[in-house]
Amino acid sequence: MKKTLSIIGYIWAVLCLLLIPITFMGNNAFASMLAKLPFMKVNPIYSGGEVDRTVNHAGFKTTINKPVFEALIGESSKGFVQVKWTGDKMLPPIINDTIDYDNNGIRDFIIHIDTHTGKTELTPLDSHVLSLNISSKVKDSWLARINLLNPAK
Amino acid sequence: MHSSEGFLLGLSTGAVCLATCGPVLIPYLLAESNAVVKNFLEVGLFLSGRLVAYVLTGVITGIAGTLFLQNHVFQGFVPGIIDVILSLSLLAYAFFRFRHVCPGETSNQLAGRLGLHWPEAIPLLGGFASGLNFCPPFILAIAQASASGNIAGSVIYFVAFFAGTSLYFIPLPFIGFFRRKQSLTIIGKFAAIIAGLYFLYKGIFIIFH
Amino acid sequence: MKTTSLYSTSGKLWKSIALTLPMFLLTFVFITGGKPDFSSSSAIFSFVVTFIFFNTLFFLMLYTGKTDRFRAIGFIAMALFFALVFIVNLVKMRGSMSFSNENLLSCEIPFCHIVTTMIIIPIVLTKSIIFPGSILTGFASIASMLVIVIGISLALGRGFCSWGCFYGGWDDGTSRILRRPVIKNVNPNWRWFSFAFLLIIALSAAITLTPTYCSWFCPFKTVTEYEKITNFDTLMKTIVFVSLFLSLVIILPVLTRKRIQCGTFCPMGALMSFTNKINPFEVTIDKEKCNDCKKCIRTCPTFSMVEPGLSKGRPEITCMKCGKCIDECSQNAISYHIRGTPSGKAFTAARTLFLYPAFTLLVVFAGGNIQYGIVLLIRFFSTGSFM
Ligand code: SF4
Ligand code: SF4
Repeated sequence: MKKTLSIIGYIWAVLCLLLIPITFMGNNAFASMLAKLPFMKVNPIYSGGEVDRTVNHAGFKTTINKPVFEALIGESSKGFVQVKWTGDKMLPPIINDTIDYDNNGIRDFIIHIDTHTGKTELTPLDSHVLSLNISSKVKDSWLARINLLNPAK
Repeated sequence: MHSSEGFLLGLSTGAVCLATCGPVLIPYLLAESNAVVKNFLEVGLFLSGRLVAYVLTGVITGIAGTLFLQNHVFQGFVPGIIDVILSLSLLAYAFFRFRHVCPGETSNQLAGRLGLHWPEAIPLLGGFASGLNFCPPFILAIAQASASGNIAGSVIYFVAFFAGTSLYFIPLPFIGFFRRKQSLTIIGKFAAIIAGLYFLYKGIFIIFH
Repeated sequence: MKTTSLYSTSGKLWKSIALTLPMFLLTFVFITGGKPDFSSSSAIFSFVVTFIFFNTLFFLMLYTGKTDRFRAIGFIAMALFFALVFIVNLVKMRGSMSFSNENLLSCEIPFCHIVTTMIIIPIVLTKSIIFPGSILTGFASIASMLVIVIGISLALGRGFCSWGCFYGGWDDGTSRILRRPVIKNVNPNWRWFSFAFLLIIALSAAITLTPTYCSWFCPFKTVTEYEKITNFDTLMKTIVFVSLFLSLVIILPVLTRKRIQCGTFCPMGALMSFTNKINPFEVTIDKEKCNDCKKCIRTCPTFSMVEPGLSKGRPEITCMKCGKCIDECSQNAISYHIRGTPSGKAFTAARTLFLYPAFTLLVVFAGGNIQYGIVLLIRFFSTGSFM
């Protein structure tokens, strides 16, 4: 019994010895495999949520994401909606857009962005629209998150 | 957020609950230590007793909360002061050695007599009595739960508090776990200190906001 | 009591050289990343220096039988060079050490192993990762770092904290500055604080869906990257990061000669402690040989060697397998051991089997950084700039 345990111990140790180089040499392959698992996605609080729809304007387009009301369990009473503006060639110096984030045919807020200075003004038109969370240039686009109250809560 | 705070408070103080009240259970579990399934049943009954005690406290706290906290003199400032005082007592509880007796122990005699006819009563009553342990975390939970201002909110807070504290009892059926009892108590005390500091910060924030 | 040397002297030199040969190959592969860059004289020079540095350390470990003495040199060098290379790269890419809203919104923040402690509960309950990083692409992606954490946990357990963590070398280094501690007899129960902190961090991260340790408590933000100071909140955070770095990583380790940050605070360290139970390498004490001088208790920088452990014949679950107690024990009573094998025998085999994966890990994390760090230093001394 002792001998068997001893042999198992040594085999285990050798496997661990191999595991370190294998982990690093095969890192790309293992990481790709791991990334396929269903939980391997960035939480919408950070990714901004899934794209809901895109609206085309002259010279730029607006991408509106689904509102994010993430909570550990169920939904939170507060959240945000992420909106992105991408220029056809380059970002317009001024973005003035009216957004219907829940696509119910009623305008929810007006947003005015000076893309040179970053100055952003939000005019809520709906009681569920709270305030501006963040407004920033991201690569070739401009991105804003607007704080919302969860209508379902 | 409210119920998750209850869970957090429960988790941060649960190790101390186990260290204080676990011994009430051990004699029964040790006698049956080779029957893990039976031990699970005993622990389950003990926890059910605690749950009943907590839900009851939740209801009473909720009623008290609705009576007092509807008055806006009590809103804001008073919960802030209560938070500060109780978080300080939580800190004192963690820093100094109190001789803590689990109320479950005192119920042993009655339970022992009852147990002759109804053996399940022993862990059930022990759990109920241990649930009514008026230690600082429990009182802090009362203060927090009452702030919800309604009975349902208060009960949910206590159920979350129960869930947090009970996690520590899950490994109990495997009695060997108790070799780690001392380190668990120390971890529990440290966690109570961190939770105490959080509630202190929250209390001060409420007062000055 | 008669003491015996663990390491026979006859043929020791040749045996050590022979055992170092496989490390030649491993260091070559991992320092160069399989793609040697000999395009400039400074690249060749830095490669040669790094290669010789690591192989000399490994050889000396085998030849002298001392572990910690040589491990620490590589480990501390890794921490310093990692910080240098990381900061220079950030400044090159972003123009500063701070990250902007743009980096956050485009999920480009490198995933550090310590974040693992905060994503576990949300993975179970929200089926997602609560971190603004990239899953698969870019530097330190979430998937690749998780693979590394899992691999190391299985292979070495908390040995990671003395052989692989690119932060650990900071307090390992500062704890060696004074020859004698100014603050003696620190209560070893402080090691449990990191477990309480792990509990609170994991829960608060789950409840708020925010990596709370990264946002509020990480001392190493001071030497890596931090949020740009734009308001009171970010100012407060920066003050907390710097104070924690100064107190836990510099001042207290210097005064106590203990790894205070790693031994009492880091939640990842606490989590890694549990993985000590799922791998074959451990440190054991031969009670027959031990003369109860308690030097190991005083020496252990992580509060893992305590009286009850000494009588049980093994350190606490928090042991980082650094080998310091083994080096210090005059009775040769402490040794690396492989679970299942008879205790008190085959020390050298167990130690060698442990040293290969542990040292390879050190080379993997440190090799590239030290090599590139040397290039940067050459550049700095010849041009006056790192860029
Ligand atoms: S305790 Fe934390 S910081 Fe220290 S070596 Fe381990 S993971 Fe790194
Ligand atoms: S017990 Fe020994 S090997 Fe383990 S951390 Fe302490 S000094 Fe290092």
